[in-house]
Amino acid sequence: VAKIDLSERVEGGMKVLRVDGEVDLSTSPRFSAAIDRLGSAAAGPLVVDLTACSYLDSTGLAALLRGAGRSAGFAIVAGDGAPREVLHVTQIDETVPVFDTLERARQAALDRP
Amino acid sequence: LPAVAHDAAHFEAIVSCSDDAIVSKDRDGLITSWNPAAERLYGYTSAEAVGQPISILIPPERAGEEREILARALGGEGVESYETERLTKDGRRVFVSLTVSPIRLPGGQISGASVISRDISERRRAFERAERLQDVTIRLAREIRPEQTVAVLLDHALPALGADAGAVGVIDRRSGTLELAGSRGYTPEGVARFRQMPLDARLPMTDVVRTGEPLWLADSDELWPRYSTLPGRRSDFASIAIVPLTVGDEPFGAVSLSFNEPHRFSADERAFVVAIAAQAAGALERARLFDNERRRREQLDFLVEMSEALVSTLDVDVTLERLAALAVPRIADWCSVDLATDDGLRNVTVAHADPARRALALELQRRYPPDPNAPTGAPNVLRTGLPELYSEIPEELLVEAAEDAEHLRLLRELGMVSGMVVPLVARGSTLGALTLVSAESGHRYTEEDMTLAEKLALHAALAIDNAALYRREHEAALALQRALLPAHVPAPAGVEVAVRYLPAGPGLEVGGDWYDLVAMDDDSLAVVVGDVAGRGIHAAAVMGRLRTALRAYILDGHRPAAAVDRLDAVMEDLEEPSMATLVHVALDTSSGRAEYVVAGHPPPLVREPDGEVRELDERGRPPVGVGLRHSSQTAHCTLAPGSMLLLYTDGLIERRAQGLAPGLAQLRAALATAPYEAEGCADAIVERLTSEALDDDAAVLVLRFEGRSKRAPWRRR
Repeated sequence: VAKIDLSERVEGGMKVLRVDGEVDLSTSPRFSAAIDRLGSAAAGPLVVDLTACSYLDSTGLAALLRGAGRSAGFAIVAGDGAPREVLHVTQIDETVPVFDTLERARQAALDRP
Repeated sequence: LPAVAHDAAHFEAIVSCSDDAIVSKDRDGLITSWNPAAERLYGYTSAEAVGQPISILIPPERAGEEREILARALGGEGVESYETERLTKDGRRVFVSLTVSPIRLPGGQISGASVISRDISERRRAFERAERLQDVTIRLAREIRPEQTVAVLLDHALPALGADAGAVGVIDRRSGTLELAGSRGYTPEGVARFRQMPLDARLPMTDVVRTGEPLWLADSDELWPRYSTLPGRRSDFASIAIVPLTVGDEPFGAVSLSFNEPHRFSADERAFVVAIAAQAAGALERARLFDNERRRREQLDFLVEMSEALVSTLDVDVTLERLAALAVPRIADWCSVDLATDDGLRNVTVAHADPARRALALELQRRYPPDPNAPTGAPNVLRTGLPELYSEIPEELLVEAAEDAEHLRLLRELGMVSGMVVPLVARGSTLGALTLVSAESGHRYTEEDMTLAEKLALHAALAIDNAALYRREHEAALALQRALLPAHVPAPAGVEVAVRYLPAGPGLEVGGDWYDLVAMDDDSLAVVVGDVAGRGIHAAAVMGRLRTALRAYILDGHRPAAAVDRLDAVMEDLEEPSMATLVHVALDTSSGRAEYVVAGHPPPLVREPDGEVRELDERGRPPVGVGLRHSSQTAHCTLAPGSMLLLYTDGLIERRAQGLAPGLAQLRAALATAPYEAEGCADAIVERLTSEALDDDAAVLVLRFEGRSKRAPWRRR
């Protein structure tokens, strides 16, 4: 059974959802619910930080894409692990901004008009 | 002078009658007088002692102390009630309180010292016992395990009374015996003899437990007339003290102390043993309660672990094998599980910690399968749905159950001591029976064990029921999947196509993977492989709708980019949001030219006629169905006659621990060396990539492009 740890915080005018563990069929409902809830909350754009996420399946991708479609300024932070590869293969990185670090995501958010 | 002589005679009389040892010594420390009490205390007669140095009474490490005392006396000072140790003639140490006074000659010079020694050994021991009792009380308060409590009790009681051996017995209500909980100083034979004493036996310890009265037998004249039948030699022990261990009014055990020499128990010693026994009884009772609590907690942990193990698989037999493996040796030495079948019962598993013993039980099962009409055991529990408890399995039961002499021999060899059979009941019906047997452990099952077994059976039954429900759903989903996916696809002239659908490992739900092939009149052929996110019937149903919708767009004449974008729009109308990735290739079967869209999907592979493998890595668009409304980019390629196109879903290459890259490299290598023929190529790829069970379902489509020049006929596959 996959393990997932989701932590939420507001930082520098962004809502950050940090994912620690695996997003798969068993954990994606929680992941998806967190994105939906944060996405609709005020307090700035939502950034999903996948730096500590070791696995992301298609249901997790679906949750990310739904989140991107619903909330303006939505962004993903992924290091160079498995999620980054999946985001690239699925060409999601062409639709949703994907950053290497949280700092870059913040900078991009500040640069946006 | 006569007055002085009279005084001297009077003084002599007093000294000789004194209970205190009175000794005098000269300035050189030589003994000059020695009274009868000194003889009693130190063992030397007056004749032996007088003229000897006083140092014969001094322990070596206290030599300095004596020099100081003598020096003080010669200096005219006395010493009062100085407590110290002295040696007796036979080398024992006695505790004494010394009062030392200078002896003055009539002229006033000091000629020596008189020493009055009072034996305070008993007082000293009483004090030590009081200290020890305090120490024991503190230690016992800390102990929470019965065996540690018993050890503390014995380790303190023995030295405090100078006993040579000791034991603690505790009543075992189940067997009606007094069981040895711990002992010190006895021979192994002695321990073996008293390991289990029937409560009604005429033995010192059982008598004390029955009456609740302590027993103090000072010597063998008191001991042997009362216990003439006591096994062992008369010379074993001369004296014993036994005190009951009592909580409330009911003795639950006893402490016994044995002495090689006769021993008169002083009031103080008796009080000490009674006090330490009372402390130990309280501690043992606490330990027992704690132990019960710990056992309950362990049982709970066991049930939690068990239910986790049981829900992690959905295969009934695997579930039951795990159940049995967890049950031994923790709650049983043997565990067997039988399931009800249409015509009786089927043994699913037999577990024993030792494989050789397990083989024995399996042999028994094979040679003497249980009679479905047997009046006891699993067949009966299956019929009645009621549990059976055998606290003992007596020989008669085996004889009754045995079909012949050989059967009886095998049954005896199992060494069954006690057993329980509990039904596996879910939603009102008895699915099977769980049999737990104790053998090597010698444990006798009680109602309490039965309660645990029934809880276990409940968990197991729910797991079985769940697995059955799952299997029905899994089968339904698989059936749906198969209905939605043709096993063979018709390929037009000039191409050869092979398809495979690979379900994930056991216990995993079906996925929404699909492949499709649509041939048009104008030499164009659409090839599709896709994957709906998620699992189960829902994913399979969405897949069915997407496949149908995409076929419709293709047949309507839409090129890949337009068809895929329309599919994206269709998905917004689904009741539940879904996402899918796919590859759609439109191939001109005469020229080999193709246009394609990769929508969030792993790249298709092409093997050139020269064997080189390349990826069709032009990016088309993200996955469909998530409301992003993205326009597809069309990519182009040309297949040379003799080349092969491979489409697949990520389940073929993705391994959770590794991501996609290693699997993709493996797939490229497999394709490079695969046979030059579609079916053989598909087989080779499947074999190479499924050496481990797949984490996810996978669809595979292999297309070999011949080109029109071959004039190959239409074929059905």
